[in-house]
Amino acid sequence: MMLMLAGCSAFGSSELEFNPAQLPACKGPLIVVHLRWNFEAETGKPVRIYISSPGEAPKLWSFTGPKGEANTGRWMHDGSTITVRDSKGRLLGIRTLETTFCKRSARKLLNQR
Amino acid sequence: MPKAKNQLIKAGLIVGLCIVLACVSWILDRASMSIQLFTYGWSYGFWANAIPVAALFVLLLALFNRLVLAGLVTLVLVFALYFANYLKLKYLAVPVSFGDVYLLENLHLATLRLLTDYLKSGILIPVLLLVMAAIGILAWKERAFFVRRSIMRAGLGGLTLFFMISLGTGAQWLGRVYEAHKLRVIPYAPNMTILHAGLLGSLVYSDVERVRALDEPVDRAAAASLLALSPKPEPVKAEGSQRPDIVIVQSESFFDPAILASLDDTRDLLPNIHRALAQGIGGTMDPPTFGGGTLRTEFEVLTGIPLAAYPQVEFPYLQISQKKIPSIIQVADRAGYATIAIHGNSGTFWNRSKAFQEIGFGQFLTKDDFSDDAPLDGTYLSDTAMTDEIIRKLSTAHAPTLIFAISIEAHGPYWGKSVADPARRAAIPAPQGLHDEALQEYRSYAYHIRNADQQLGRLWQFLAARHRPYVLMFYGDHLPSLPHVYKQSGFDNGQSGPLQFVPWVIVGSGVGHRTVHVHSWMMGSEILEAAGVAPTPYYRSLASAEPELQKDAAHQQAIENGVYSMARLYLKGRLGEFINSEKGPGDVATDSSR
Repeated sequence: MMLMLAGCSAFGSSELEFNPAQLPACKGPLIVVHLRWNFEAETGKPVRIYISSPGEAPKLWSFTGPKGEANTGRWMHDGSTITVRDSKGRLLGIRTLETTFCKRSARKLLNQR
Repeated sequence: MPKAKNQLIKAGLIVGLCIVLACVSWILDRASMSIQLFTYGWSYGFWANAIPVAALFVLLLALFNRLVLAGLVTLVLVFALYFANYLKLKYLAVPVSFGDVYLLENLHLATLRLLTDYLKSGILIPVLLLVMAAIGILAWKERAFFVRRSIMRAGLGGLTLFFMISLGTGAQWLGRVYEAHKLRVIPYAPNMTILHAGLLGSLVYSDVERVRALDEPVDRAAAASLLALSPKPEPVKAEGSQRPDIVIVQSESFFDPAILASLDDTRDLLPNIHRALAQGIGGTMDPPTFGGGTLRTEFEVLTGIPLAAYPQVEFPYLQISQKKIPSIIQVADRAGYATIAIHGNSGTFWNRSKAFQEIGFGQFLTKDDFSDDAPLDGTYLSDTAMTDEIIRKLSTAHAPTLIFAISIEAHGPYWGKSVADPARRAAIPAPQGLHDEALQEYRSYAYHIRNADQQLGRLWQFLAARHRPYVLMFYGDHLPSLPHVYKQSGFDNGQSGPLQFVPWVIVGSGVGHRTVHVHSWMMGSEILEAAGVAPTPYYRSLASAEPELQKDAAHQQAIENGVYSMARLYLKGRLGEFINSEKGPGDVATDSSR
């Protein structure tokens, strides 16, 4: 699994895009992201789109055509990952939402200790 | 080639290889977390993660004097770390943490045997052989990188040695580099910390923090508020009445699968726990671990100390070491009980032999003390064998006895294992919607917990027939790792596995019916109360906290703060002094433990 991930889509897929591409500083922690994907070159069949948080098992979000766009709900957060697989489970694309650093929220979190 | 140019090329090669190794380790880091492979690349966390990799490589280069060999060994070690992280996340839903170092320090054959069960050794052995062959060839054939008596070699070796020593001692300068704010540490969310700082970055951060693991602050006002709550009346034992025997069974990975969305009723599978819950005190219990980490629940039950009071402590038996660790075992000992622990595995596993001495057990029976014909079921000694031992010890006891028994039969993994009765396993009804690996996993698991339930029934029947008072506690230590089942089924409440609860119950002489949700650190006060053993001030406080924790969230938070502060005083042996300062010396504090 790890090797498969390493072998595919190593630096992100151009066919899988987030808008906004990053979670803006001090916004969130949850935002809506507009998702655009196009895997028609890889498959003509429907694809499965999964969502996950870092280190957690992915959950199926959508079973849809190989090309499309959609809004997520207000549940995308720092580290939220969208994974797209074909009908055989082959990895087509993976993208993780990054945030720009926010001093205010970091201080708040550390003060909770 | 001029010497200076040669040195420059060598320095460039070292720096270049360090950057390559840093990038590879970052990609492996991201892969082990199942996220996009260069997320947060070139960030502060990226470099923080790179430093230990580069230091290891340079140290190996200085030692071996072989460039490719040092690079390969570094790569193998980094790969092994991230593979372990991937497996730990998959099976236990938690990443590798600094606490695992304590596990490695106490690695024994029993631990290795149990851990290798999770690996597919068929692939592992050829890969290991291939890597060893490559290392052997490189060590033999590769040319030396530094000339003899190289200043560069000595300098690099010294520098990395300094880094390693700093790492070992948790040096302050490391704390400035691996500072929480710079690394974007998210307290209590290790996966998010690793997302920003990388696994190695967060490990070094934890290393620096570890010196403060037990040095958590005490909120005296919160502890005083808890102390001021009216304590429950102490249980009174009639003069001359016999003290009940106390048997506590910690059942490995036991949970009620009825909480799975695909299953509604487990009364046929687990009749005895259902009967006990209908008659005794019990309900659901919130364990501090998921998928593994038995010792965390065990520690909380035995000591009444919530591990949430010590967020940096992951493996309490390995990280907390003092002459005496206060516990219900010591309370029972003072009340005249013989105290015995029973576990059908090696005593070295989880460092129990040492920890149980500190906790105060009079005797610890391990695998070697079981009879030669003790039956196995699956990989481990069966619950039948454990119950045999409990019955044997009680049958020969001359004093009131407390037995704490830790089962092991139902330990995972739950695939590809033979069991004593495969036909019975195959006949376990398939829950709706479970198929393939999930069904195989479920049936293997259900087979073992059914055995656990049958032994609960057998033990209960034995105790009830002895004409001696008794109190029997039974609980699951955590939910098992059943990734396929959880994926196909999910839970009734829609929450994830780590947020589910396990059942707990107390039955016995004079024990009435009550349903209550508890944390595992509350179990000690429950068993003392049920057995009529006078609790110490600490356990009285825990008992008085219990109803308060059923109230609103803000109230809960205040009570938990009080409990954590009191637990910190209790572990350090300062609770008596605190109580005397708050209430005056009338309320004798017998909790001092050091």
